[in-house]
Amino acid sequence: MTLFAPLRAWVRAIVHRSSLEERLDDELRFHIESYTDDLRRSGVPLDEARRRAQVEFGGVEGRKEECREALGLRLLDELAGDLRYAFRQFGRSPVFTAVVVLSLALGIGANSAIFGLMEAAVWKKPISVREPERLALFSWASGPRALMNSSSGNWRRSSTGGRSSTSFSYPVFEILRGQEKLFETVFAFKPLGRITVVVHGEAELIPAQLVSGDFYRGLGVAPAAGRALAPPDDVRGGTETVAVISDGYWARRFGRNPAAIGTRILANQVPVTIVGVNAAGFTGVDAGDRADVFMPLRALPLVFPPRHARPLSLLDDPDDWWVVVMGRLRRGVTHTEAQTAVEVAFQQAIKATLPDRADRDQPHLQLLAGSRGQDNLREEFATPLVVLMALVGVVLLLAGANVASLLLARAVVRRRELSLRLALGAGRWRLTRQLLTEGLALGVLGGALGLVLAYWTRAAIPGLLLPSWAAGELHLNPEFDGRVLVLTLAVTIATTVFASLGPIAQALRVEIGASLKEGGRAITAPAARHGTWLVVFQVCLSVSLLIGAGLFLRTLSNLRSVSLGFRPDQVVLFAVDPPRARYTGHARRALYARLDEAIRTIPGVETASVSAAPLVSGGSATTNIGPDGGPVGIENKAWVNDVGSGFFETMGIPILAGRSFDEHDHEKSAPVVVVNRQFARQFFSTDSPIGKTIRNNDLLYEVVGVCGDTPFGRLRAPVPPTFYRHFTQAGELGAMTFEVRTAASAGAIVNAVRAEVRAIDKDLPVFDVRTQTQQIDGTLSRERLFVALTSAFGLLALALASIGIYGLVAHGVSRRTNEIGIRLALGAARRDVLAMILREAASLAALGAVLGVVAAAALSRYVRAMLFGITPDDPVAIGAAVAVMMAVALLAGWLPARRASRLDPMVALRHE
Amino acid sequence: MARPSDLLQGTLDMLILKAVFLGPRHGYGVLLRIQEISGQRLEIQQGSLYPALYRLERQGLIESEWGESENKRKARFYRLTAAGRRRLQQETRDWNRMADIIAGILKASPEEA
Repeated sequence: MTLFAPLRAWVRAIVHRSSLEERLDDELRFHIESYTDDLRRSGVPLDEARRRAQVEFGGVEGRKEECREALGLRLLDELAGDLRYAFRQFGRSPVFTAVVVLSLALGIGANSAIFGLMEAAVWKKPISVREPERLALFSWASGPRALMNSSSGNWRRSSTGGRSSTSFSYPVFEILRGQEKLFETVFAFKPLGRITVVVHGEAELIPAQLVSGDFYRGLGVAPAAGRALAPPDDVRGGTETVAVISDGYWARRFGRNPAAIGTRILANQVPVTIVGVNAAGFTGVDAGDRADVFMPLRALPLVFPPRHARPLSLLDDPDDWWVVVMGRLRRGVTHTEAQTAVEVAFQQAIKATLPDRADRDQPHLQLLAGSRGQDNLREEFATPLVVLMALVGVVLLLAGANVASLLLARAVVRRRELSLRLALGAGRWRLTRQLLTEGLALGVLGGALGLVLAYWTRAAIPGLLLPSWAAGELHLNPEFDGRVLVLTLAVTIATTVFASLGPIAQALRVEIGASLKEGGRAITAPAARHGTWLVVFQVCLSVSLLIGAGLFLRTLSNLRSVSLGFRPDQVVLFAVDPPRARYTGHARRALYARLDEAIRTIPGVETASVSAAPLVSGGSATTNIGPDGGPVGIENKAWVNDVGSGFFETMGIPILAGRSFDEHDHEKSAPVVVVNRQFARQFFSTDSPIGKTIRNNDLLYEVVGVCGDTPFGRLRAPVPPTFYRHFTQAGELGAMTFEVRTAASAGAIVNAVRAEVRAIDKDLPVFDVRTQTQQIDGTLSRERLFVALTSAFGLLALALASIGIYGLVAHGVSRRTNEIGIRLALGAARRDVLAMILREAASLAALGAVLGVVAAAALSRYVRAMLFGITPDDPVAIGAAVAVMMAVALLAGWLPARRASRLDPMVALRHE
Repeated sequence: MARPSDLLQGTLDMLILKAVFLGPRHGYGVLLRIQEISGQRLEIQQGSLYPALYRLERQGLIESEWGESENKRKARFYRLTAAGRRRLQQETRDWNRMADIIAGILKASPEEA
């Protein structure tokens, strides 16, 4: 009990502080009055008694202080006092304080935001499944000549030209499923992208995923409501198709109504019954998946009916590799064991399903860790995020340097006050505590503000990494959990303690005698040296950031000035994806033709067209091609786009030879293509391709025109050889994008478009509305983000560095006022004085700039991949950065230098 | 009045506990009582009284509350707690034992070699 008594008393003392003070007052007063009374009773006159009582008691305030100390309040009081003092100091130099707090806030806030993002995208704890470490992801790798004729999904090209992919054919999956000795379950899934779902008569597009019957069991996730999909649901030829929806979709569409389970909905025109709801937060295996509806794999031919040109459905075709396979290892089976055994089974499966193809490369199985699914996010975002973290780390360093220089400058100015305190008996630890409190106060202010900033912008950064209209596709939700807060706190404390070390060491080294006298010059030398190095450090960081900004700026400008070969302005894009159950083959093509015509009649539309791939959207569509008679090798690859008649006119692509598509080209007429100049050069060298025939897989096309070159998917890639088919002569069409050239605004046109589309089919949603310029800019979003960030940080660094230089030079001038006065008195020209001061500022800045260039050179190889059209040692960027820094430095130094040169020698000589 | 002896802090605490043990008193009263029961041979420095009282109260050995003094004025009265009583007994025992030991040492006469 007595152990807690002091603590309780302490807490009580703090909580009831005012009544405590009152009590102290009353009690001590009572004592003195009582003693006075006693003295009077023994005959001492009133005044004398009162005086004696007070003298014998001693200083009341001192006694009170001792009582407070006895209660353990001293530490708290001193802390409160230090804080009050600190804030008074901040109030006296508000601008500088604001700059420091703001820069700390930016550094810490950006750090926290990026850390949260890294957590979500790269380090995220694996999906909440049972024992994720036992999950394995099937993958294969082969040489460049792929064994199968068709594959889709995730694939990568290795540095040696080989391929690797996570897509398998369904027949192979069924064989691999038999590996029961090694795996508890083998399951498969396929993200579908968006499908049209009609609920209660309303159609919308939601992302979907197909999964095998064992999916839920294999992952070990249970539904939040209803039931999960099970093997009986995935049997071919079954009658009813069932689905499980995500928690988010359940909330959005059904308001979490339990009656949602059992509702029949239409998925791409297929009637489907909802049987369950996933647990909140589960939207698929992959880290970036955002599937809202899960259906069994066997529903594939219903949801995407078999293509016209292919006799086999995707569930039977051994030559189409598309499904992602994962497995849960049995306990006790290691990855390596399983890998060897499954590779054998894999080879057997290939032999059983595919014919021998001697001219292709044999794939080999690789078992990868499956706890993060296919880990697409890490692939795409790892490098940019790491670069971002580095940038942000640099800003944090800068902020720390600023805090350090502020505190250092103040410590120097206060040396007389500090030495007075030391002389009066203050302990060095007490002084240290005070300086530390000041530093931490700044840090906590900055950290708190930074946390607020990070919280506000936590949605913004992933949004900046993606084009605006597709931001919903990739689900990157930076969590603002305890780890981020802890990191922020740690970073704040570390920065401020580190920054306070210099001033504290400075303060403690103060020689009492020398600094109490006026003009203790010996003291300021070491402080000035530290201040100098801090400024050099700031300049170095600023130059590095500015070089980075310059590099990204030039990259962006290079990308923007890539010759497009078409006119992107005033073109509005939107997409349509008719459900395959209702529109397939001829009906589908006819629908697109009807839509094309209808759109063209809208007032305000100059021309319109339709295409399978919109220009510069990041996509890619390649196929094998060859001049007729020539070998159709896999190396003969060309890009293909199925377009409408008005395409070239709408996009402003010139026809260089022959003709464009017109009304003569339709389903029944001879198959024709228009090729671009790159194609003609590559496959026909100097001959004119007009009239010649090319072969695409089994079909022959006559070349009727040559059009200008345009980039296909990305601005960074060189112009690929492209050929254009008329969409009525293409095979099975997917979703198509409409291009509308109009002088009106996008919003006005879209309403009319929606009306026309609805008139043709009321269940057909129009989505992804944007302008062509927005689309192109969307592919540049990452570059724009980096330009924005590096420029912002670079400017901030510039501001901080210039303030640092100004402060340093001003301080130097005031220190050397005496000396300057002597020089002027001895006949130096004012201009010489100015030059002398400026020279010192310039040499500081020059040193920092050189270091900055070296640092940038060392670090820039990491960003080489992000640049375009320039190398990391681009002289223009470096030269511009250094020039800007020197100019700003000279300007910052010029003001105090000018003041120095204007000194009146008589006044200066008298200055201490 | 005898010359006030130097008192260690621990000793003052013990005396205060004893004084309060004899009955609840306000701060001034505690002072008077100590002087009284020492037969006026001990004079406590007034200033060190209250910090000691507050320290003892914080340790839970005495407790206090507002009350009315003899001349109808508001004063804070201190009373011994159970813990304080135990501490007083213990301190008394320790003091007596220490006094015995020291007295024994001081009584020792130089031994013959």
